[in-house]
Amino acid sequence: MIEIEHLTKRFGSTLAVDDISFTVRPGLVTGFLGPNGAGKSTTMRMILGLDRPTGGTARVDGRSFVDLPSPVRAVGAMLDAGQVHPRRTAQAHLTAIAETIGEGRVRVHQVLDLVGLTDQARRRVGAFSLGMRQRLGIAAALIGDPGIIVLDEPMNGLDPDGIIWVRSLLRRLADEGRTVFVSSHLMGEMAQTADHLVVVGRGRLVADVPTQRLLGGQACVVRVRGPEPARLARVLTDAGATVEPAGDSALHVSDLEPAQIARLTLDHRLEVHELVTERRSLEDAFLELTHDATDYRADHTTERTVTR
Amino acid sequence: MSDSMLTPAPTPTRHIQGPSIGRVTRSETVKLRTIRSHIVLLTTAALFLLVLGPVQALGQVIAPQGAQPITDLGAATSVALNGGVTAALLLGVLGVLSVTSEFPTALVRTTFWAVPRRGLVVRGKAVAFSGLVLPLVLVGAAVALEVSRVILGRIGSPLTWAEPGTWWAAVAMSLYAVGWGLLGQALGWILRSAVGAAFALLGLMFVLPMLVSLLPGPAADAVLPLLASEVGSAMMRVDQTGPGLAPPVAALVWVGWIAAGLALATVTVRRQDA
Repeated sequence: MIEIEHLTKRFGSTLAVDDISFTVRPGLVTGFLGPNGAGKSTTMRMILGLDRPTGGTARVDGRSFVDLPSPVRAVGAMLDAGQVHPRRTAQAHLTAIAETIGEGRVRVHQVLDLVGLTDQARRRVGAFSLGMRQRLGIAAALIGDPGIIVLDEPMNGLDPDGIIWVRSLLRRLADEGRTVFVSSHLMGEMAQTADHLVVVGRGRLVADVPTQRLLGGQACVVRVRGPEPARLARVLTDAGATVEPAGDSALHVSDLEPAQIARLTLDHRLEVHELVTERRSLEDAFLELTHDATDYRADHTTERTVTR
Repeated sequence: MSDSMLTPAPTPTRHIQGPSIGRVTRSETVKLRTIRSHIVLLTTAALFLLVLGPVQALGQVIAPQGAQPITDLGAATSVALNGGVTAALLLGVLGVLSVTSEFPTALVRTTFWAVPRRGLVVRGKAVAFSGLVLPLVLVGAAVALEVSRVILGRIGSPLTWAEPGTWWAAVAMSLYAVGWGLLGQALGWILRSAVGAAFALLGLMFVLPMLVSLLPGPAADAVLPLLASEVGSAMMRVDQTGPGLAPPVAALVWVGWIAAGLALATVTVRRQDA
């Protein structure tokens, strides 16, 4: 369990984290989502006692991280896969961490095996690919068999196999009853990984909701495209649909089921080139949520019309 | 890739115990030993200590007319331990690197995650450094003295293990060399940059005494003997008389310098964000 209350961090004149409160619960994968620079890493550093909050508190298992009797056994953390001396071997890096909790070679080999780096144990980390470093970082986080796992962008730089591997590992850890808190700036990635989402933008909390609710909050939209959009629109509107132009002679149709639309076009002998159901993606939901909270954004409101 | 479930750490009974000074020291010893450039520096320092003294002793024997005559024990030990100052300089740099190498990669965050009580990390690194370096330097100094004793025996030098001063020379030289390493670590924690800390160390060794000697007479006389560089040299003197502090007093002040440096380092790392 991680409890964040009114957490604030100011760097000079910048408010990196602005009065954020949320709770990360055990048994779930909680995604920590936000654009780059939204304050995710700063929040994670404060959870781990690395940065001192300007205001508010971050508690793990009911106390401040620094007061935990055995931090590595309580909270496994990977903040940045680069936090390894490039000239040290994977095994040496992990041994140095294991020694702080009185563990040795046995445990190091267990976690190396767990992340699939056994063959690379004696190679210098400098020669590792980003994906291998991520695995090493995850191995380090798991050394103490912790009940809470905090990972900053663990899927960064992974190939599709690696992403699936991380996803199933996180799922397994959560299913074992652990608290799993994972940050990402890629919403699609989190949609498939997290049970719960905490969204931040520009240092502020934007959403703290189950993933399903964020995804499924909107009715689905059907995209219909044909050579006669004007007539198509009239027919569908007469049947009670809400229709919006979607560019390229296509329409976004809501309030009608795809089967009804198909029946109507057939009845009216309308040619249709495309008829697809579009779910609102997490990406859209995310953009919408962080719209006002983002520092810099391209004006792409016309590019894609999300029906509401 | 393993399909096995996450296996619990094998010794759950030790769960309650957090990082102790012993564990942190072992962890830091692993870190010190597992970077090749550290080992290279350590070996080079040991070689300087081992070789330079006996070579100069050989010079005394082969070409006595070109060298200063060895009249007393102090002169003999300073010939034998001629490589000590260079070794101390290299160990100072090793001390700096053992700390600053954690900053560019932010490895220090991993370190402070595992050991959030940062004072423990500062102490653990210092103990690990001393534990690795002190025996090596002690043996190196003893071997340099013994080899030089054998060589200088040919010209009838007063160097002998029967004199307590010889033993003191070996111990003081070791304290001196390890001390510079620990001051290097302290500066590394405070300045976080390898170059900055290395320059600060050189400043403390060579520049500060020069600057202080520019002060008006009485002020310079009062401050100069207390500087780390002067205390270090005074500590290594074998004869009890001479300028500066008496060797045992100097040794105490030297330890005080190290303690103060590490205390300042602890305060600094506790206050800063990692």
